[in-house]
Amino acid sequence: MMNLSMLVPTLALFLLAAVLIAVNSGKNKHKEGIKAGVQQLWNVLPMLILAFIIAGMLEALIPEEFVREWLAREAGFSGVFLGTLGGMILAMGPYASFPIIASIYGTGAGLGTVISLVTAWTLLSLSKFPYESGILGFRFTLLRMSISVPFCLAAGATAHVLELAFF
Amino acid sequence: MQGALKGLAAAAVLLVLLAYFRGGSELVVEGLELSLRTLVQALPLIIAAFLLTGQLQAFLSKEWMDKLLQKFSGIKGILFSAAAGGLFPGPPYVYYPFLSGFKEKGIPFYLFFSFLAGKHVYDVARLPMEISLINPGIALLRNLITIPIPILIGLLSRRLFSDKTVNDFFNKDFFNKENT
Repeated sequence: MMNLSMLVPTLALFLLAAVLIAVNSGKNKHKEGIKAGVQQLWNVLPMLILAFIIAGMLEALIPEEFVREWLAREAGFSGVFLGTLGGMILAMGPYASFPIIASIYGTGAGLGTVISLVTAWTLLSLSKFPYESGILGFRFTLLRMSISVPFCLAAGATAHVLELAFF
Repeated sequence: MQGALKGLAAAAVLLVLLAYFRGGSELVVEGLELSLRTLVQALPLIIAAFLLTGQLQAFLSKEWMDKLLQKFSGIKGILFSAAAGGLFPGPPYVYYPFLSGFKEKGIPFYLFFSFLAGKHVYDVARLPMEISLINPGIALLRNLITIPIPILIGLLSRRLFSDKTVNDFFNKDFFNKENT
């Protein structure tokens, strides 16, 4: 059964999709959009199922003491560093990475850890490395990643401070 | 994609074996039940997310982006290119080739950087996945905290590389001051 925290975003996404279908139908592009969405879901379905298995297993396997010591709010800024490093080595697409990040959050990781994990995944994930270095060059990739590292740490630190102050 | 699938399958098998050796079949079943429960709960949201992603891809054309990206400069340009990056559709094998089309063009380097940071951080098409697969609250907080990042990256690269162009970076000695 779906809980309320999932129901509202689900309805919102269906509503947004309906609006875009209406807009795209004016340009006769709505069928193309539906086809692209279904095709994409079909392509990533095996990956999604595997990612959910990994996420469930991680949730069952990660010891509580490890989460308390290294990833939870009590871990302080070490969680932010670990999150940044974790986001970088999560070299998979969103379908695979996000359920894993959710399971880490589910085990009790702090907001600082989770936000730095997601932010580092968006900016530093090694999954983009082959495309970026192959197409734009290794020098460009290294420059962009070096500039991005402090921002991932800052995002995690901000979330950690907010969690200490408000949650 | 096939490589990633094999990697995920290997990781899943490894974790199932690890769970078996640590807690026997009970821990394996516990892990699989957790997986199934989360998947069933997230399924309607996943379907909605993919429906929206497909429509977004049909709505935003690459030609439209290309035209607008060359129109702006300065702080306005940074704001625009970061937002355009966030709206640009497609995975890395789509947007990196698109960006490589700018290698020979004289657009400022900092706009190139803020576009890419915008794509990575904002990615509107990825947002439904983030909401459905992680958690709506976490997705909201992450997006609120990271809104300034592509703009700050653009401002920082403007400060560092001032009037250098994308063409300078890819075709000249970019870090040599005599080339400025």
